[in-house]
Amino acid sequence: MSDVHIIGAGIHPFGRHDSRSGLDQGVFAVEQALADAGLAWGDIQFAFGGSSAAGNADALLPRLGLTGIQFINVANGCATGGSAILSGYWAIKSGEFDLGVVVGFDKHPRGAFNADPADWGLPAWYGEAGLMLTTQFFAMKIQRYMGLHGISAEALGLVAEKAFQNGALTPHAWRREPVGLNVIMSSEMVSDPLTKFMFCSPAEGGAALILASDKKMRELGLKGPRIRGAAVRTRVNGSFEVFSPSLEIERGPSPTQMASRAAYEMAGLGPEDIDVVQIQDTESGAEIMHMAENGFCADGAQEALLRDGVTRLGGALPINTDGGCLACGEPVGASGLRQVYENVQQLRGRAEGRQVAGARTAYSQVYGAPGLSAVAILEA
Amino acid sequence: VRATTSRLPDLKITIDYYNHYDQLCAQEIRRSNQADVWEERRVDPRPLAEGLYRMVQGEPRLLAGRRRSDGKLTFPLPLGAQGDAYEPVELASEGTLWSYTVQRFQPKTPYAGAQGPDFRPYAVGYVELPGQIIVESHIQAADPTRLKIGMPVRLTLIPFRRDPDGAPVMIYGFEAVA
Repeated sequence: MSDVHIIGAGIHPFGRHDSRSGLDQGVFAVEQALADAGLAWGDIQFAFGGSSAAGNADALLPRLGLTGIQFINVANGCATGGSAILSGYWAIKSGEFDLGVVVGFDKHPRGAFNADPADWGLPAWYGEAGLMLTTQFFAMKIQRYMGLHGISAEALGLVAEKAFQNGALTPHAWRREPVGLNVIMSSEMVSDPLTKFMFCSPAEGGAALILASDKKMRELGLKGPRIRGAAVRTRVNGSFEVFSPSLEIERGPSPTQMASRAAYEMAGLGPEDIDVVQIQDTESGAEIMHMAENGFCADGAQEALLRDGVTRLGGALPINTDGGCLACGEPVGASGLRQVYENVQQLRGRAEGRQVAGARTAYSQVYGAPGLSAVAILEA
Repeated sequence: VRATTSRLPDLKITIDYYNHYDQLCAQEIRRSNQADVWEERRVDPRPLAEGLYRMVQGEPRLLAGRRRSDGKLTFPLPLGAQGDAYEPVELASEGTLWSYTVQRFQPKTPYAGAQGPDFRPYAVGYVELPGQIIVESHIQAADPTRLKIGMPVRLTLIPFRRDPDGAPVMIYGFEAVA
């Protein structure tokens, strides 16, 4: 079994790009990742790719070169990018391959996602009734969490304020202007307690990583962060997940808690060992809850951490250093790969303007409907 | 039927979430009595979907399924091919609010409620029915900002939309216990 390293990373800036298809943005990201590693598409042995709304990921092949390689399309909701990385990781760790690409891209229409109940095994009335919205789920999850753990509405605002501050420093971010706490708090209420600036928007973008075995990396004379742990977990009875017409009264662990535990165990690391963190912030509340679900603090401790600036750049535990989904938007196929792209930049000391000094370990977690989470832990 | 259709604009009460079913019916009958086509429009209310709830002595009861293999409850009652594995169970009609939010923008399709200028924000939530299950539901509240986790709530029916034959289509919801 081989160690797996990330030896190249590329990204097409997230946001809105009217003149470029999702596929164009995927091609851009792969070409940039190849250039970063000094490789050509012809060197690549396999690829895993994902796109949710911008067509089949393997439509990249005619654009990049019909070299006959194994290309597998990955579809796992918002965790598609995280799932692509995990697939690539196993392909190399198993010893079957030495060098591959994981890629994700997307281009969503404006406005909130709308889901077809039949695609999720749910009755049609659930959608007709206006109950099947991811925005409602996130609002209700944080609403209850705030009630149970004493988190204030202003804490939600502080998360968004930090996101836009970090986004302003990040070339691949979409929202590149800081937004004041007052503006965030007084902006239009979308789904109580979350205002407009506390939600991320579906967007466009592409991201790609080149994965290599330890042996291949040395052969090529390259260096890159090692994947120390990677795991995907899905929901169990008692977890509170999106698109649930009913829940069991007895509560259980979330898929994020389970994926996090598995990845830490694989890595032989704990949350106290992590230097820089990217976690799913579909909205401000998700970042707050995911701080605890990924083991970075106790339930309810987030309020003080946010007020003390611990999770800001320059704090002891910087979270979502590129502005996260709030500042980058969420192109579903690419979102999890963006997190890892950012961690790779941080670990290679290339995150100019937002560099976490001396970062040696980095953690990423992406969450998706209908209740799955993907975690990756990298070491410089 | 044509006459019915032409009268639809002044029957927008069906999409007013703050009216009770009873009030709706009373209003409906008053309007019907004034109309020359009332016979055509006197159509019984119907549920948004079959198997969602049943009426017991004039009161709605939500229907869940108890899985025969392990006794676990699930809502809604599974129908069709998986229905055989479940036994229908009436859920309690009173419980407590577990969480809630307000849907302030008009959802895209497949949302089939009031559209455009008729859209009104609506509250949704999860209601814990003691000893049974937590169900997702519309929440009927004059002022949704006053909802509180843990408050006692009771099952009701809310007019949701109107079918082409004029029948009010009802959806289950919970409202604060007065």
